[in-house]
Amino acid sequence: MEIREEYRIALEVCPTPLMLVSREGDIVLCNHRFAQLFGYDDAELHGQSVDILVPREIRDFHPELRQAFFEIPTSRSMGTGRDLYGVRKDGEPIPVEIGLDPIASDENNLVMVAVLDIRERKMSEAKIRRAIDAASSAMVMIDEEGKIELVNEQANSMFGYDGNELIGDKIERLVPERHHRKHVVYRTSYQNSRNRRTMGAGRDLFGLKKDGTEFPVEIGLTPLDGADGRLIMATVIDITERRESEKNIRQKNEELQRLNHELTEFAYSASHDLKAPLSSIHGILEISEMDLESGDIAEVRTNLSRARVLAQRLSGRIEDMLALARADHLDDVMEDVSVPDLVREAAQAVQGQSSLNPSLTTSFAHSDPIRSVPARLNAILENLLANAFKYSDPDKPENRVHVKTWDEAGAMKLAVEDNGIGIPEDHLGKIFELFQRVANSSEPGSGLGLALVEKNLVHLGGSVEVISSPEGSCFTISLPMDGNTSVPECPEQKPEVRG
Amino acid sequence: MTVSVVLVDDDEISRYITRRIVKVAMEDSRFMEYEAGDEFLDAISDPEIRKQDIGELVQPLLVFLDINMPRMSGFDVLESLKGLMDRDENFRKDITVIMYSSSENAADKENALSYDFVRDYVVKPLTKQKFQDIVEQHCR
Repeated sequence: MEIREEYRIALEVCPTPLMLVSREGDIVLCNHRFAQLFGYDDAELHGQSVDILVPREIRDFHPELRQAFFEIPTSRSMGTGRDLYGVRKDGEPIPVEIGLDPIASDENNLVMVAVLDIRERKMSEAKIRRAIDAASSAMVMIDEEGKIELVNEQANSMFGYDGNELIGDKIERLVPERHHRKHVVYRTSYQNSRNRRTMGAGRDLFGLKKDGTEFPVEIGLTPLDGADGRLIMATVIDITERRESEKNIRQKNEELQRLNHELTEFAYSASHDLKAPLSSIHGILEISEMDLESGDIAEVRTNLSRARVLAQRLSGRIEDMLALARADHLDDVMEDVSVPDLVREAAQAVQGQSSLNPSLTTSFAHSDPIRSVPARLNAILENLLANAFKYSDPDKPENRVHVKTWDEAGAMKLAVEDNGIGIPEDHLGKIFELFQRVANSSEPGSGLGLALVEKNLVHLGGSVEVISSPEGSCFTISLPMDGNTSVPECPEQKPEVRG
Repeated sequence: MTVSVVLVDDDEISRYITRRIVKVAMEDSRFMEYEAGDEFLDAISDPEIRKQDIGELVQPLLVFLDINMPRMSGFDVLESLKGLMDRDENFRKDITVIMYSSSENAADKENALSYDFVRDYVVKPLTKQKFQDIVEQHCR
């Protein structure tokens, strides 16, 4: 084919890699820059099929596309919307942009093909893309209509999408449905202000994942004005964990407040219960001084023994308080414990505390011994027996305390039954609380006995039930027989109480 | 002037101390004691029992009221007294309550003094001087 010399000169002076291709797809002419771009010598490409520059996967249908071009020859760029690649002599594909211009003045149908090497542009695009993907927060860019233009990897993984799934979709796809209508209004009004700010100040924001789950988010908005329109970049932070830890802190705070309150209550009751006998001793001694002055030695003697009783009561209370404090720190070493022996010892320790001195009977029908912590079981038995003895009813002809045991569903049951004064029904709920002295009786007490019973039972993995009436009270404890204590994390197990 | 004193306290020794101190501080005073709040309320609200127990009300009746008592605390008693006074205005004039406790707790004190008929908060033990001061302040 004859090529006009003007063409040859024009091609060589043009800074763009160019070639002329015939309708048959042969390279009629190319400039030096073109040959260089594809790694050929200047003359090497002449007469070759243009298809050798086309990637293998396109090569089969490229002639057809070329044919279509010559049927309606217009100046245009090739393959709009697709990434185009050319293949160099050494087989390396290079990203290119291609412009096509038909040259119709000749009787030969030719097309001028301009090829732009866009490797550098592609590289810097990739660099920006990597930078966006490397950002720690999720980024979503939308256009004026709210269509998603760009999402980074974080945004994809945060919302559960892949690749370009979201591109071109409305941003509302990431917003819980109940907020859709409002979101469109918010988005539109943001287009008027277009300032850099966080979204939804004061409101709780939620994102919607592909699988339908919602999660709390914080969103920053940045307007991006460019040649391609008025875009908005939203950076999204998933604050699920922050919310979670805020909740935890709140709960911990409430718990601390509750404990603090309990401690205050304890300090109040403790100080009162320790101070009361002391101020009585104070008063008694002052009166004794008066009586000494007036020579009433008999009254002084009576008052000194009163003071001694008070001092004993005080030291008993201190003892109980220490026992209660220690109950949380006892070494829980399990031993084989003979319950009848322990009951006998406990009874000896508390008998004589009541002037009515009730008779004690026992009937043991459980599998002895049991595995338990002797110190704890002893504290439980002593306190239950002390109550049974103390709160005898002087109006009844005889005063009895009965202890019985039996096996029931892997547990040992032990009941301390008395025919004492009973517990008023409206006080039953309070008897296990610290310093509650509900008994209608002048018997002194620390108000700590049943609190001690409960605390030790919790440590032994046991429980207690109370039945009471004016005919008497019955405290039934249940202890795991194998001693397998599983102390609950929060020992808030409330004893069962019945009137 | 004769002062009538009523003590409501479950603690026997505290009652003994108070009785002795009142007698020493004011020989011609009248002293009546109750072991529990409900017993006192029964006596004060029933004119028959009151006449028998306390006698005709001599103004003012000084009521020393313990806080820490089983069954019915001093504060429960105050609530009931308030109810009685709301029904009978004369009652209010007749009775002056002195809160009587072994511990000085700010919240208790504030709570007690919020009742207009509670005039003082006395920490045990009662002494001759304290009692005379109270009479001086509230019975003249």
